[in-house]
Amino acid sequence: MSKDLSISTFEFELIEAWLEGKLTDEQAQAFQEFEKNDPNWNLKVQEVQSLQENLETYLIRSELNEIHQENISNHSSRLRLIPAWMWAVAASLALVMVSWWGFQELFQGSHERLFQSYYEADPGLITAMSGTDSYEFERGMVDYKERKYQEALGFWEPLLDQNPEKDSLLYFLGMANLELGKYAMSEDFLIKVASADQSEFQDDAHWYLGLIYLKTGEIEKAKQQLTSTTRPEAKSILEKLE
Amino acid sequence: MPKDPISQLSQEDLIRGIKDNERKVMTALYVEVFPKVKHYILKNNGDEDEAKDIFQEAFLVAWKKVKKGEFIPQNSSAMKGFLFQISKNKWLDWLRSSKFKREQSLNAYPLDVSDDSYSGDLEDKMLKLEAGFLKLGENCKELLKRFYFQKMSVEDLAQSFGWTAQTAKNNKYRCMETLRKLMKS
Repeated sequence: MSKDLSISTFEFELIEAWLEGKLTDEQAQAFQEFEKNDPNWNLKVQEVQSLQENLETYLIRSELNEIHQENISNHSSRLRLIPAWMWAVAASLALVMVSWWGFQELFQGSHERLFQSYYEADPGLITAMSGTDSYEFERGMVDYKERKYQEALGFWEPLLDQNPEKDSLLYFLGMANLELGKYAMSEDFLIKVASADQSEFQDDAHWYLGLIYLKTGEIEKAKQQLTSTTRPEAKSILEKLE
Repeated sequence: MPKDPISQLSQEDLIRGIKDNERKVMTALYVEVFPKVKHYILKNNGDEDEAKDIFQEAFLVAWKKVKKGEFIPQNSSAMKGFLFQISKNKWLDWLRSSKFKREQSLNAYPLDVSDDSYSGDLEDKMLKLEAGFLKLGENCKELLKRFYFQKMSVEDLAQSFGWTAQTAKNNKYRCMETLRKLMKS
């Protein structure tokens, strides 16, 4: 872990296949080549293996805690320890929450709520994308991931002059604007990505465009975008819109 | 749920259930063995929280030994016995380390249940991993959970998200890379 290893998709898949004992002949050959020529190869293998194992351990521990909570923890005895006045406070709070929800119902459209329940920011990229792997793009990505969207835009916007078609740049400009609530700006960028000939961000661009149109109440447009994405959540939104 | 839902499982199904982290096998084993361990620990100077910690650590050790093929349970009773034995040893270990250091061996190690993996370094990594994992987006969390915990195949994973297999592979890589980098930041 001490060394900052860069592991490509190809290397990652190769190592995972090796760990599973499922290398094809071709992969086995590639694996041997890496073993011979990459001085960091063993470290990379160890890193992927330990990441996999630790992740599984963490997930098992979480599951055990859940099982304990659901099957062993004695909720009823704890509830009885709460004094009566706290129940009164809890009941009033519940009443306030119910009324608040009622107001939300009145003042907030159901489409807005759909937006809110499905919207989740894109986590951002780690590895450099070919073409825009400039320092500025990477630097902006660091800010983006720290939710400093305005700062990220500060790095990315100047790059547009030289890379007006670059999908990763356009997509994350769209996402940063979306996070800042600048829906029209975000829409402009995402439309370019969604209509690009070939982009790995196309699917996500359709998805977020669909959400933007839900937010702005343009339901027909939202439906159009949501039918163009393969995101499974899109189907459930479409069903709810019917 | 029947009274003892894992006693019905064949050896093969039990081992597969453990390898695939099946919730029902985990729950059944937990619910069956925890009360016995708790009883033992309460009787031997421990409290309920300690019982939970010791049992969960022991569960993880037992679970991994089966996954690695280091212990092959003949049936569910063997698995329950193994888990109880590890829990008991861990508790005795703890008592010895903190209170009875100078006492003679309690001779309670009929099985090799040594657990050399829990060094401070590993715990440090685990804390970083947890912090990193919690920072991931919901999609990444779900994807990693389905693949690395529920042991879904790439094809099933792709289908469950409505992706192609290639997209599933790419996203899996992307999420693991994000996690790897988050652990270092």
